[in-house]
Amino acid sequence: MATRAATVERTGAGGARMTAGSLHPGAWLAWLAGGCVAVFLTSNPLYLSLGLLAAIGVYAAVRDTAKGRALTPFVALGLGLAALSVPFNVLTGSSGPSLLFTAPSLTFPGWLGNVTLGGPVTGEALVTATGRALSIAALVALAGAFNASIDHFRLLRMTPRALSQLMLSLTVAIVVVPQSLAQAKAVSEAQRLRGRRSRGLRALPGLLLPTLHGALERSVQRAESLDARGFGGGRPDTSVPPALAGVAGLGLCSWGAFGHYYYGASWLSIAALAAGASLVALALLQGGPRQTSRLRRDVWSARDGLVVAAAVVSVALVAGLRLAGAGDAAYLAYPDVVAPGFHAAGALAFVLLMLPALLHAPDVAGSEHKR
Amino acid sequence: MIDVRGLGFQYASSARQALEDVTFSCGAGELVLVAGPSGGGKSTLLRCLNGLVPHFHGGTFAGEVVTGGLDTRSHQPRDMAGVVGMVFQDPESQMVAETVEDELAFGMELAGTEPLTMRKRVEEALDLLRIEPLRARRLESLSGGELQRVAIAAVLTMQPRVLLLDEPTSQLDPQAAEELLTTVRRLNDDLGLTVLIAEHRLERVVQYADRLLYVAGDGSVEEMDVRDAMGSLPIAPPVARLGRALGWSPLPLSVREGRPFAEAYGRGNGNAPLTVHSGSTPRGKATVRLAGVGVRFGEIAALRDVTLDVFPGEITVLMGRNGAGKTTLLRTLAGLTPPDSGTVSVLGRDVGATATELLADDVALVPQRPEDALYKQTVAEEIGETLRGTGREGSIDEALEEWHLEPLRDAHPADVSAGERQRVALAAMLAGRPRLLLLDEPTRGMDYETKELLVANLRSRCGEGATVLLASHDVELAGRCGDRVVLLAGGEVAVDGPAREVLSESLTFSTQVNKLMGGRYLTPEDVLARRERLGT
Amino acid sequence: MASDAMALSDRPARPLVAGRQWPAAIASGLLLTAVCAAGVAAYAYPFLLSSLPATTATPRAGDAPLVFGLVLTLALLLFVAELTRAGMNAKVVSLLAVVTVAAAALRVPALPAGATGFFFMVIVAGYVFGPRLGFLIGSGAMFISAFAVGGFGPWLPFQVFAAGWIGMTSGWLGAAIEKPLRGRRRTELWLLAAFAGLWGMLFGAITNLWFWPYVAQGDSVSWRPGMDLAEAVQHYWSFYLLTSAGWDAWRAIGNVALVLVAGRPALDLLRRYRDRFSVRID
Repeated sequence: MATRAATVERTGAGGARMTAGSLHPGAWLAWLAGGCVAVFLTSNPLYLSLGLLAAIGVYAAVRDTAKGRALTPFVALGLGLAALSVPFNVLTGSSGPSLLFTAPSLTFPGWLGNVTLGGPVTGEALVTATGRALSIAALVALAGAFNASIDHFRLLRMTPRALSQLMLSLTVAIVVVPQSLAQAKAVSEAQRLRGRRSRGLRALPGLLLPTLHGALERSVQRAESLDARGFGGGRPDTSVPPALAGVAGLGLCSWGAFGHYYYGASWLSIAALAAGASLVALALLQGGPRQTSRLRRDVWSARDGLVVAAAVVSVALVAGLRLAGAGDAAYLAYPDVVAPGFHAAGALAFVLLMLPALLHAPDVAGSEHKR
Repeated sequence: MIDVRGLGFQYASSARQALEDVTFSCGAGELVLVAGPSGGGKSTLLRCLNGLVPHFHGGTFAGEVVTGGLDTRSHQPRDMAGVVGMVFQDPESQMVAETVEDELAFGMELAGTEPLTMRKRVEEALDLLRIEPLRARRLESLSGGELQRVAIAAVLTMQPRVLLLDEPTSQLDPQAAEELLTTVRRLNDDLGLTVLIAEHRLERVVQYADRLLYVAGDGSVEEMDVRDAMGSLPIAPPVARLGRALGWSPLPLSVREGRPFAEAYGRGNGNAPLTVHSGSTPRGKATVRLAGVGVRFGEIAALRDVTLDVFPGEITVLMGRNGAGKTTLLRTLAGLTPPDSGTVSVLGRDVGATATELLADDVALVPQRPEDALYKQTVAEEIGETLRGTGREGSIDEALEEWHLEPLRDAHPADVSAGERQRVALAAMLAGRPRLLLLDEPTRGMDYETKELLVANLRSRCGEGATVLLASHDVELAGRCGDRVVLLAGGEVAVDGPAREVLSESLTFSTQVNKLMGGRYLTPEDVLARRERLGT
Repeated sequence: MASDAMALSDRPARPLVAGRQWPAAIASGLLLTAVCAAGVAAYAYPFLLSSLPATTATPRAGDAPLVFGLVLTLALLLFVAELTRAGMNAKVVSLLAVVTVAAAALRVPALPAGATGFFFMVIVAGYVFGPRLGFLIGSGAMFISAFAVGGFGPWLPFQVFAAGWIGMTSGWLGAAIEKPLRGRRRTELWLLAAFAGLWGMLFGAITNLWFWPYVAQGDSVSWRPGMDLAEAVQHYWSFYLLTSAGWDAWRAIGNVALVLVAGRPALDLLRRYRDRFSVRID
């Protein structure tokens, strides 16, 4: 039984694949990255609430697929854990002058670090914990929307040359899933037909190994087929420059990262991070076994461009607020809890993240093909 | 196109030569059949032609193989991909992409082909294999026959001059297999593609083959004329076997070729030939009783209101199109698919209320794919597992002997050949004399000897009072061993009657011999038996 | 005939990483070292930053998980690219796909011991197939399963890298004890079980590390830049015990049990396959 509706693709001029509706996976990736960066950059509960609302809005808009529905319990679990972090943080130690109430306390022994659970609960701690819970929840919702909407295969196709072989393997891995499930079912039935009485968990090892065995056997034939169809991995790539670019890039990144905290946030460390990341990207694009070609490329539409632009603008707005020290982007409840400041730019940053909810259109649902 | 000189090969893990001093050559545009017992080296021979042997499998290689001007000793299989294409047995395990189009483009993408050229070749291949409507489908949603055609199309996009097919129909049902073989013949005809095909289902291709390579199993390969081969080898299709027995010359290879001989012999004579086996023993009490049974899968009704009694001591063959409900009926009887309505009783037990594991004491079901049934480490353990689990009486040795598996006793089921594996699955599932034998499409991709063994063993089980119910598309098998045929259509019983009546004078459900000779003849043996009786 | 016999060993035509010229070998070694250093730094940044003097006015390092997540992602990509740079042959690609999907699939069902099958599979496969394939299997399986469980988020690179380490260290364990312990299968199994139990605890300890400064705020469990290393370790220890140790212990027990129950047949299966296929690549 097909687990999700088959994507019906239309063929346009020039061999472009125009999947009706869904955004380019690159755009989704940029949205996820932008959203996460924006959330990490601020601690202001007002902005974070907006971020959470935006992420949940997008999730709700894209959720209505077989995959999205399957993810719902995971997203709910994530949101639940985020909510649980509030009592955890408040009870493991509150400080600050605004005492709300005093909870019964319990002190753990020394090997637990003399942690005291309970005791005084302060407004400062509560506000801080709520802010963090909001940002965790926003991250979970962002991830949920991303996971519900992207097509794995289209995402894997975007990998740089240096990783193409591994990605082929991962593509095959996804292809193997339905086969393996069918095999597991067949093995389980054969066991029942032969009078084996164990069921459920105890039968799992007895089911797992024969299934794995069948899959391994088939993988020999798949390897033969790969070989016979010209998969050879190309010549060993022994070029030095990509490796050196990688080393240099990673070095720059690490230096930028630690400098960022050692000397404080500065344009220099951000520039080092960016330059390092570019060098690594270059190494990944240049390295790799062999030039291959593509039958089709995913089409980049204006909508995708809009989503990326929104992500970039939203990160820029939050970062700008932080660097300018405006709008309470780096809000702190200490030493005294005060109402967080608010700036329209910060609000705009998170409202912009809603964009995919408007631009996303579900794929034209094909008939669910069934074997 | 293909030149093989002094080829010898021994697998690293094996003690004996798989091929020894093999020499032959094939011209461009030939269609060559590769035949021989299973496990005899047909696959090895084909793999020698594109370099998978020795480069992939490893072992000791001798001699010279030149395909399309490339010597396999100096060229890896990947270098030969543009010259030789190969299609394997199992359609699923050849697939590496998620949609049909991507699968077709895979080889070209690796080769770095220009996108425009790629587009053109993909379109051509879609048309040639007539799978254009499938182009955007996900591979997991395709049937086995469709997947095999995708596999061939994927190979053709590389524009090879030679196509190697290693038992491409062994995992397919007969309809899909026939379509595939027709397609292969058309490719050979229209494109002048050199085709080497290892195949058990000879009825469809033998008349078009230019030559036959007989891989005997002792390492030798004999190059034969097709008609000579059909005159001497046991693998011949029924028409050829009949022609051979009656001394027709030149030997007919198809019903069409045999028709003039049949007219001369006296077509349609003998409406009641002496049967080789007697299906007319008095019936006992029905062992399987279905009353108003219905099974639904969501929207689809797999079985509707089926009422049927099956009797011990006879072989009942379930026939019908794909999706007619044959497999569902067998699964229902084994307790795997509970009925939604009606009552099913097997050997006096209510199936709906009894777990499969408990029914297994008396009921055995052999699934379509032998791989699905096997999961232990040795052949003997496979049989022991069933005996232990079901508590049926019997011994491992007895089962090994029944299915001629004594030499494989300690072999790993994955290491034996495909035909041997089918025997292992039969031996394992049917061990210990169950009283009801259910077989789902048992002859799929089965070679001649195994089929003979299967028929003989089923007959003898019947003689001991067991009930045999087998689902099959294989008309020849039904003609050889069926006592009664039940034809399912759309989940309902459409026809139910003695095999000889149902299988004769029908356009699609007649055996080859019946198409040729008419009357109530089903097998060459029927014709010969009558001739003997008449003393001519 | 014997004169032109061509004996080919059962080994793959080309090892995963071919013998290189020395400049390439040095560059590769340099890269792997850089990756290891950056990877460790990215996980251990709370400890490393804590030993730095708090000269800055950084009130809290809320964006630290992000920045180090980026560093770690880049390191991970480079590492994987380097492992597969010389080209993988068809056997490896195909094998990797199957074992990866087996491990990934086992992460999905809510088994009582917390997806313990994932650890079992990665450890056994790494043990049999060596550190390189071990890393690829562990990291690939974590990545693939993220699609299914909605795990595609900022935490993913940390989980992927750690899962890769499970496979890689299992490969080292295999290289160290498989030959010496041939014939002493009980010892081998117990060692493997202990190793699996250790990773059951360690995995949680490692993957929670990156999020710790961001999540914890209580006085005795939180991280502050400039805190002293011993204090940082103490705080993290408390944080770990309070949040994830119970869950991890349950998982560790599950790992040990699963290795003891299913370890032997699984090892046999994979070894049989490795020997037939000759896909040990070190």
